Amino acid sequence: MKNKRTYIVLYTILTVLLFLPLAQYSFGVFKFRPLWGSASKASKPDFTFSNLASGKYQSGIEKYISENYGFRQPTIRLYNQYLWTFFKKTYANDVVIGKNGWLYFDKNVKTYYGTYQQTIFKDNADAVLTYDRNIRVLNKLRHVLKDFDIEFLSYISPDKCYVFPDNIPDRQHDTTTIDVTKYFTQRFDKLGFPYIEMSQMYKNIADTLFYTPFSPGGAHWNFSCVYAADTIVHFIEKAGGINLAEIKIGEYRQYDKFEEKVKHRCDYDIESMLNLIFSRDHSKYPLYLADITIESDSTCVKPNVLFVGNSFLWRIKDFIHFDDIFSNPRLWYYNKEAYDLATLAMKRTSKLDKTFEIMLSDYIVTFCGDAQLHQISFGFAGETLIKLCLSDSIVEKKIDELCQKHNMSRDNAITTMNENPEVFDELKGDGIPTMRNENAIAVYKAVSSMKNDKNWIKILDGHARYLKMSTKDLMELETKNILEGKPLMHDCDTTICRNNYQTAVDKLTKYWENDKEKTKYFEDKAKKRGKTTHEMMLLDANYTILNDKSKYFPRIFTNN
Amino acid sequence: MVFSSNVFLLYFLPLFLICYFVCPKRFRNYVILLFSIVFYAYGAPDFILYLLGSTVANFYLVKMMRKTEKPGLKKLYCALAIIVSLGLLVYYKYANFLIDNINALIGIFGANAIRMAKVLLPIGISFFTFQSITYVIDTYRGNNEPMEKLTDYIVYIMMFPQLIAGPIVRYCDIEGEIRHREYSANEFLQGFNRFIIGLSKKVLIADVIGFQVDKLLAGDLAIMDSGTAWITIAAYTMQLYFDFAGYSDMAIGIGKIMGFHFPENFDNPYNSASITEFWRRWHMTLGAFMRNYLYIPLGGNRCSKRRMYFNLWVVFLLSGLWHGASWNFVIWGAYHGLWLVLERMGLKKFYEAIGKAPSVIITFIIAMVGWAIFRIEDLNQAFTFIGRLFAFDFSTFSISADAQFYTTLIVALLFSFVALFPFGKKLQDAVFYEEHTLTGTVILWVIAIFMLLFCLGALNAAGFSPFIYFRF
Repeated sequence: MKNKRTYIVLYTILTVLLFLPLAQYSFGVFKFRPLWGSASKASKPDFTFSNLASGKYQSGIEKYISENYGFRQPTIRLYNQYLWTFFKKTYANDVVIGKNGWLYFDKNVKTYYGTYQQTIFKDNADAVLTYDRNIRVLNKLRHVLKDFDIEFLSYISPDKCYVFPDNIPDRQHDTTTIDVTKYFTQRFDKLGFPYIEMSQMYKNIADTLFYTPFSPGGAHWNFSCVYAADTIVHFIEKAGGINLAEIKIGEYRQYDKFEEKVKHRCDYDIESMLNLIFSRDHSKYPLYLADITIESDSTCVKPNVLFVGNSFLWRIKDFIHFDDIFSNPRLWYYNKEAYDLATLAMKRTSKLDKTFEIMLSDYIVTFCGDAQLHQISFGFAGETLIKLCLSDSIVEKKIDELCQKHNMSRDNAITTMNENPEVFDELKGDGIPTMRNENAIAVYKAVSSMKNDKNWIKILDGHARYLKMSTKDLMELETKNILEGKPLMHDCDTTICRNNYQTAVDKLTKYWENDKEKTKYFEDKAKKRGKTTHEMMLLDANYTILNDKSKYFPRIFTNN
Repeated sequence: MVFSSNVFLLYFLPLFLICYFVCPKRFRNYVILLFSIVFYAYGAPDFILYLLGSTVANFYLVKMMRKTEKPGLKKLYCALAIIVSLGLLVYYKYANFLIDNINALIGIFGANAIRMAKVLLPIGISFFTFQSITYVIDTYRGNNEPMEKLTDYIVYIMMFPQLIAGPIVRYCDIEGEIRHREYSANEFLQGFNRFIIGLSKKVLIADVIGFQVDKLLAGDLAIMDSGTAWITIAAYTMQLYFDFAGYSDMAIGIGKIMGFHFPENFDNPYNSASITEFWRRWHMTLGAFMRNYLYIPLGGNRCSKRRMYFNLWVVFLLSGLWHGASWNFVIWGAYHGLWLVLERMGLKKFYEAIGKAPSVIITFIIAMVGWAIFRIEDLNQAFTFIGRLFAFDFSTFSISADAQFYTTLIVALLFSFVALFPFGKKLQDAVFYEEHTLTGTVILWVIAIFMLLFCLGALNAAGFSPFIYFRF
């Protein structure tokens, strides 16, 4: 040992280094690029003797630390980079590494090779049973929606494997299974069901565009999705015989700056899931952007549109302001999460008044990929068909029957019913159901009367601006008022609304002031936020009244 | 708790090191004791009292043995102490195996099966039992004085670096260091480097290979082509070595950080030119234990040839059984015993005649076939697999696309055999044993830190398999 001091310094640094992950976990001193992708999060296990004895604590805490330790992001990226650089390997779920570094999703590759079917269905007959039922349900719903002046359309989003098959890894084609896209499109043609199959369209686009419409590292379409949006707009125009605003594409420019790549990370979404240290080389397939303008004239209308489907719409939303073309554009993402495409506010679809949302729409567009056709519309069609056709008592009776017969929970019974509405005799077969739900008819009438009365909408707009709410939300409230025979906002001028709103806020604030526990709560909260207790109470009262509409709004819009 | 876990690497080890070095020297054994109890209790909370109890009983039995002047009583205490240790080992490790076999036997005669609740195996029991036996016998033989302080004895038995998987440290080897240890920053750094080498062996080689081995062996062995079978068994051979040697490196490394010098456990075993040599290089502390406490007391070499062959067989049968309570381990022990006997009977001369390289290859193949019996618990399956090895059927053989597995396997094979060559031996000595210049130390230190981060990534990257979005 030539230099004892240096050794001691190294030893001290080492001890400090060993503590760094713990310190980083506790204080988060360094900021690292977060890991991309969705994964379930483990919660911290409870430290109890029984958990310790059974080994649950140990496995739980190991998983928890694995997901939270300091320097997790750089260490995982470091190992991923090693795997990728040397072995072209990744732990990312469902990712298939194709030729020339092209990335695909396994489901899509399997669908392309005809091997995905066997992971879902027993055999061809089993698959056809589901496919045919889905097509029948879509067709029935389309006819039922027509009675409510709603056009129902469907499109099949393009599949990277079909557009760029040359770079898929070589696998054995299974020719014995059904080509699901072909099966659906043939049936749709036969039924005259309006649809667009985009894979073929994108194959054509790919030959004419000067950039790849799918980037090698992405699962979704890139800027090229604007062409798809244009197609959808024209599709709707044609279906409804209407004139919509036009999408105009400006000058193209290549983008390669880091900030832009982060902003448009969706173009490299599969690649991002690799969670590497160094970005892959994109110079061979540069990507482009252009400014988009929406041009409209006095002949243009803005129909209400509800989209139900997968993630392909997100990319369109990045480039196009849907609210410049449509009124109340909404996306029911996988029929589970409802997004207002103008504000991106999200609610669970289970929390929505679905009948109102449907009746508000002039067009409903479902979209899904080839690998998702077996669950096209993600349960929306079945659920809506039941909701619009059958009375609540029939539905309740069937739920009870399913629960008893199959010993399942209510939730499972509802899911089963929505997936297969043909469990109802009334909805079986190819015929269009003749029954209609009375509530649906009443909602339709209420919504139609508002939509067709420009003055009514104007009044609601006025209230909405003052209350900082959307007109759509007030239309929903007004529909309830109509159905329940309550005073209408239509008949209430904005001054009364404002006065009553203020009265409601004052009443609630006073109520809280008289409650010792609440006062204490607001004192603490105000302290934390650096406000006075009264200011805090006012803020919360405003928030409560705005958000708990059903409880407070009747009072706001009446003199009571 | 295992060394290659987040809990150990990110919490236990840093906390231990800080407590250990912040404490005055005279209290450091108590720190080891406390952390060792936590280490064991974390992995097997149900057995900590059993372990402590048997350790305390042994300590006092040995003390009484040493005190008494009467040879008969001395023997009795010695026997009692061994019976306590071995009895518990037999009960916990072999009760299920014994009952299953007795039931199978009496079942032939139509008798009702004996029913007994399944006995759970306390982790590390095989190792700490052997350590306590070395203490009892060495003290009985007068090789060393018994410990004065109970806590020091518990530290010897329960010291967390070698508690779970060895090396089996003879009491006489670290007796002095338990009482008094020298500390140096240089040794600390060497120990850390050794620990990281072990961790890398385990995480970057053994685990990567093991994942694929499990997948390969989960298939139908009867239809496995010979190429795949050889790759599988070669991979398992490497997995086992890098796993076990990695663990030993980690234990030796932590020991060094703490100021202890544990004996080496592996010395390039696959470079052996005979099975006899293999057992001098593989799990050396077990080999030494078997030699000192079983083979020599049985008569060792100083008896007739027949008796010597018998002794060898017994030792290896028991050695096999020590590895696990299952017939495949017994057969594996017998298999190795057979080769040892054959070598004594003249095979060794054949090896000498053909030269080192062919002998190493033959020994490696013999060891690999042995590992097939060791790994595949179902004997029928094991022999089916061995049948496929020697069927030389390569008609359906194709190399699958997992480049990481093949590359790691090749790297593992290179590391295993590199010491056969002079430059490899030099390199190995330089990394493991030699004292380095300041520059060398700094370079190794930086590499070790990098490897620690890399291993952390490897440990956790597989657990993070994200979906692009949640798709309900």
